[in-house]
Amino acid sequence: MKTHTRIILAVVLFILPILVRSVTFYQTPFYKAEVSRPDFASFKLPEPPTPSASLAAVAAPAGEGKVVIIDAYHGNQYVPNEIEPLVTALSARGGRVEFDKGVQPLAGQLKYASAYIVFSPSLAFSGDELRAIRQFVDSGGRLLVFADPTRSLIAVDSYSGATFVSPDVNYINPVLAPYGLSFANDYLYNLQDNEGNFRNVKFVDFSDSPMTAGLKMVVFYGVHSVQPNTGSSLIRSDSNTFSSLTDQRGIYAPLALSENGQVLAAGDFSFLTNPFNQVADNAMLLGAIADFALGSERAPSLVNFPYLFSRPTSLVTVGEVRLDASLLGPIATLQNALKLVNVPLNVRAKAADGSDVIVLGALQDQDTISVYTRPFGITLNEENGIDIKGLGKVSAEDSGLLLFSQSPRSNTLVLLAPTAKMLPELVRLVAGGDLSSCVVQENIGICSLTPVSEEEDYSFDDYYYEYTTETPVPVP
Amino acid sequence: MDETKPELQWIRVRTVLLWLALPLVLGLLVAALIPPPVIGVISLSDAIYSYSAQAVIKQIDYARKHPEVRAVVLVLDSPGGTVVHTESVYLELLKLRESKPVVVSIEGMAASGAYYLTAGSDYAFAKPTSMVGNIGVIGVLPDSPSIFENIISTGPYKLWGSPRDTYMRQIETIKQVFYEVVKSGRGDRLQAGPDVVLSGQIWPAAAAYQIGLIDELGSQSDAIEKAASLARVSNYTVTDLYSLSVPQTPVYYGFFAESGEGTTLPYPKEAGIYLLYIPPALVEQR
Repeated sequence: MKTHTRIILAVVLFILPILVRSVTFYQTPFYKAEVSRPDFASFKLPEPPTPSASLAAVAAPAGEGKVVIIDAYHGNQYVPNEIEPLVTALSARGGRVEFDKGVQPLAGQLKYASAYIVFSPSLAFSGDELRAIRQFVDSGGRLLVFADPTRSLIAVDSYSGATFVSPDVNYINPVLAPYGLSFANDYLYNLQDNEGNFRNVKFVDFSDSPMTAGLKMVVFYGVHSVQPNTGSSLIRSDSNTFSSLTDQRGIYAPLALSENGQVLAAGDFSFLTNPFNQVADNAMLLGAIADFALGSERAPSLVNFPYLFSRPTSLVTVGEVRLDASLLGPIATLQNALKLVNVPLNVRAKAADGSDVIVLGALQDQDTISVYTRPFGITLNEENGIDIKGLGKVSAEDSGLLLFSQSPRSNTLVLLAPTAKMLPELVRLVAGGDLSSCVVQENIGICSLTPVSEEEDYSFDDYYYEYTTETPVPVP
Repeated sequence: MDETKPELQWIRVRTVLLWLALPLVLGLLVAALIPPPVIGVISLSDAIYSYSAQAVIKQIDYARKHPEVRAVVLVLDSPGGTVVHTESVYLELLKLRESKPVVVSIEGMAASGAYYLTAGSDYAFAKPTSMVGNIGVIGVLPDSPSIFENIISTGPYKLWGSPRDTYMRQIETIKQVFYEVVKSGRGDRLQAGPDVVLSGQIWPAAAAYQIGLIDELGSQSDAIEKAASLARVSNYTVTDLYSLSVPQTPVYYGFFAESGEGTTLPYPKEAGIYLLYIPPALVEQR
């Protein structure tokens, strides 16, 4: 064997076991892979939309003297600090904001309000409250309802530890129901084009309305969808927006107006709060909402007594009516009722110029009072009856008449009892503010009065008598 | 002649020994030095935070530095954890994958941050009812900045870290990064769009498989076989890398909060930004 053959053989024999073991363990000598990795440096924080308007003062306050009542009686899930921007916007427009804490019945407060605002309640409205709201809206008042999916009340059962979520929509939908609006128990989200988070939804589709004039983009921060069954949606989402209720894409409305234009439903109120009102056109929308709240044209109505007058008021008597002792007490009550609403009442022989007027008279003085009754289409006939145009005949023996007329120069309330003796009862009834025993139709009220017999003396009606009986003497 | 014959025979034997037996013996000795391949197993059965992340990173480092470890199987049973520690492990995994395949085997759960790691693997197995997904970020916004009479800080956010709004946007950015990690990691295997992937849902593995979040339903041994197959090795041994790479047990501290009675709760005890799955009932309680 030649030397080079030997060398080759030796090398082969040396390599062979290495090769066999290598092949046994490793099919290829080395694993090498290209691994793709994200370009971490390319990610940037999403920028917020630039605000297009600031919360500037309003040049010409349009809501001077109007009152907005904000509900604070139904476990509302907000703190006053949060809604301060809206309160400021209302005040800047001349409005006055009051919080309803349930001290007096809601119906009483709504008598003088321009708008009633409810934020995320966690307590139900009573039947009386719902009725009062309905009457308020029917008489031209505006109702603004804000829900918010981040404000659900979470209760924990202390025994089991189980949690119960009680969404605000459960309590607010009965308030909205008469107006064809309702909130869905959901929140809207957009995973693709949002304002920093999927639940912060940008809206760019607006209907043609004064509320949305000039808006290009608004952002809601956790918003229920509003279902305008008979009303109209003011703002609509794009088709990439989902509702958490169904996880389905759709066009959803976060803000809607009732058919009569008096009720506004918004699925969020975070957009009103700081700092969210500084984003996109949210400040403009806030201003439009304040304008809406103060934009009601409520015609004063008899049922709203004592909120019929806004000027110093003169009380005058006509015909045979005299300011005797029986009448002074009820007039004092009337004076106090008006004092509560900052309206001074002065008894005068003749109404002062530029003042509102309360007239006291008796139906028996037909000639004198006809100047007040005729404009209302009321005539008194010979058979002690009252003919009211469109309403029919009413007995003049036990019925009092309330007539209210309004003009730019003066508002006038006329109180007519069948006789001068029955007038104190009618005045007392009106001063108490409870006209539930009266039929009120527009600006005419007919109240049932108890006839006074000539012999009876009712001058001590206000006093409470305690009747005592003589202690029986035991008979021995 | 007879005297020379044995001499010749010895010369021949010597020649055979020198040229044949010696190289063969040397070859056998050298071959014996070639280590058998090892499939390293790294287990993560905890939240991802400094302690657990360091332990996993040490094992990854060991696998990378030891050539006999030809592939790694990462066994996950985790709800996720902090963002930064998840990223730490993820980046080390990517580095390891350049030289060795990494296969994930999901046991009970690979949620949020744990799925982040899954997306950083070459192949992913799960049991049919393992819980997979919950892709997203969770955090509690800091308080609005304010000042205090007796605390002096040198800037408006010295006490608060960042504005609430910025914090929210940071969370959104981390979500986008997470989605990119999933997209780049899963590539064409991902069958769902961002609306599904980023919905934050946690799916049973059978459903996660349908949308391409994992590659196969199978056991840990399936994962080991797949790792060996990807590394193209056979006759391998399987070794738990923890005991080899973490000889001294690091000081453990609890990640999760504890109730007053000492019960461990499934949410972190410190506020922050997390890639973490928190069971829904407990989110409500929070």
